[in-house]
Amino acid sequence: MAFEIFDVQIMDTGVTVGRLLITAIIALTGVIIARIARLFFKKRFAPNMPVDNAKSIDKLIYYGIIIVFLLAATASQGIDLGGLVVAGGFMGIVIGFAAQSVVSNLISGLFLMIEKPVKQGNQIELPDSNVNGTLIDINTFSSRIQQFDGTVVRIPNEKMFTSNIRTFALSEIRRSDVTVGIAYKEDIKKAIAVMKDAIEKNVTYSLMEPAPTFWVTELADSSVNIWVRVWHPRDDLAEVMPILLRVIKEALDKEGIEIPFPQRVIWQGDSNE
Amino acid sequence: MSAENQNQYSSYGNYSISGRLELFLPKTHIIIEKKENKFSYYRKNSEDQELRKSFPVKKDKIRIELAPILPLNLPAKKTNDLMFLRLNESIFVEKNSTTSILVQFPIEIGVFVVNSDNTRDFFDCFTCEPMHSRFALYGTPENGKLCMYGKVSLLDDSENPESYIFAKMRATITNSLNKGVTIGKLVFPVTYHNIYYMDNTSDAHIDDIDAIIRKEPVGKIIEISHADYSKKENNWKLAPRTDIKAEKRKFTMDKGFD
Repeated sequence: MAFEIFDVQIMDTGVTVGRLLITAIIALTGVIIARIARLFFKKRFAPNMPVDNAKSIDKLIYYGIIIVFLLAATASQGIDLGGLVVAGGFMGIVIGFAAQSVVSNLISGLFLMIEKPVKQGNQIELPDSNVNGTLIDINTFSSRIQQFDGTVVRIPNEKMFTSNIRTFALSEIRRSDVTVGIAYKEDIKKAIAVMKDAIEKNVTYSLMEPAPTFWVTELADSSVNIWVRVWHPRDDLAEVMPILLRVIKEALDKEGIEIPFPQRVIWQGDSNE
Repeated sequence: MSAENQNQYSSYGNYSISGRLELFLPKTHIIIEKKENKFSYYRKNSEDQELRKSFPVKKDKIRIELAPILPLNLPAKKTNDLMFLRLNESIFVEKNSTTSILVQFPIEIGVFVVNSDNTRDFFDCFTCEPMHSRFALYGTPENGKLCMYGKVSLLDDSENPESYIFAKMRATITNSLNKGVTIGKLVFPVTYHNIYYMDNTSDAHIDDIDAIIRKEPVGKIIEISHADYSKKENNWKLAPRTDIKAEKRKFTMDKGFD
């Protein structure tokens, strides 16, 4: 008697409660197996793979197994998805319009994972959005970037995909530039030698080769401006920029080389004229 | 008068500590001292940078080993394994010839705790010449490789390098080209290299390298491979290794060597 409920048809579709239950159990088994497979992959293989690849494969395994089980469950119980597809076709158009941005983000996310313009852990900059930081991950609908002040910015994948992305990922080093002005009376060669020596001795992360370069860029109103360009390992901006100007100034001060400030000489007209 | 003034530095080797031990090295002073239930470790360098560590132990005595290690740790582990040696004076290798040179090789100093089963645990490392903890790029900014950097001189066979700052390394260079070549730098992986030291001295020697200059479609290249330090005698002791994984591989200098 109690099992009769399993033979009850749902809305005369030919699908019984029992079949639906078995379908649900198979689908649930799929979810459990997907989770076990994911766990196994994470422990066994992921540690030896690049992080971004591991994440993509992890998602592929998880959702792949669930989809396979879902299809197997419906097919084994004779549930015809054709009707759902036809009905879904019309609903799809309606939902498609409503969920345009969601789908767009999903597709963009897929393309970001395939194209890999940037990888997890890369320092990136989105100049259009004024976002600058480390890419944490690319998820189904959005990407997360941790800025250098610790805040995390969530960027919709569509925006990420269509934005200009500035990154240093392809090179192991990057360059930092500062401009230093010295007084017109000073010996430029000596000033450059003093700065070079100070940078080599005190800015540990500054590369010895290519060595820092010094370009006289401007004969400005109050000073001769020298553009100092220092190469350093890609991820060590914070080890160089905060001390670079201090090191240069201290070295110039020590050698008595003047760093002038803007001055204007105002002549008053002679009252006798 | 400090030991530095007397120019008498502590030697590489094992030290047993039950009370207080002071080690004097160029620009570096280390004190290890027993205090109740722990040993305290204090290191100070010439720039007055201090480091303090302690290890709680129930034993009355601990053993440490002071030994030269590969220069890959300071100022930070950034490179995979490459060392960039800039020669203070370039060398000219005649066509179709083999030459052997002895060069300085920058080192760091490691402090290892010696366990009761005679294994070593890496405890601390430092450099006696902070100017050697520097980086360089081999190649162009677009596709170059980040390397640890050392500016080194050639040595005569009887000449010793600056103690605690350099080890000795022999490079055997074969020029298979039909014209002479000038070499100003050597770039090669070092994680597979062992360092040897002589107990109670400051002498250190690292495994050698073999370099072959030849012509490839991309231009002139130098292929560098590891070679065991063949002339080591029985009294040379193998320095313990840090946790850097040893990987044997050849390296091709295909981005210039002048």
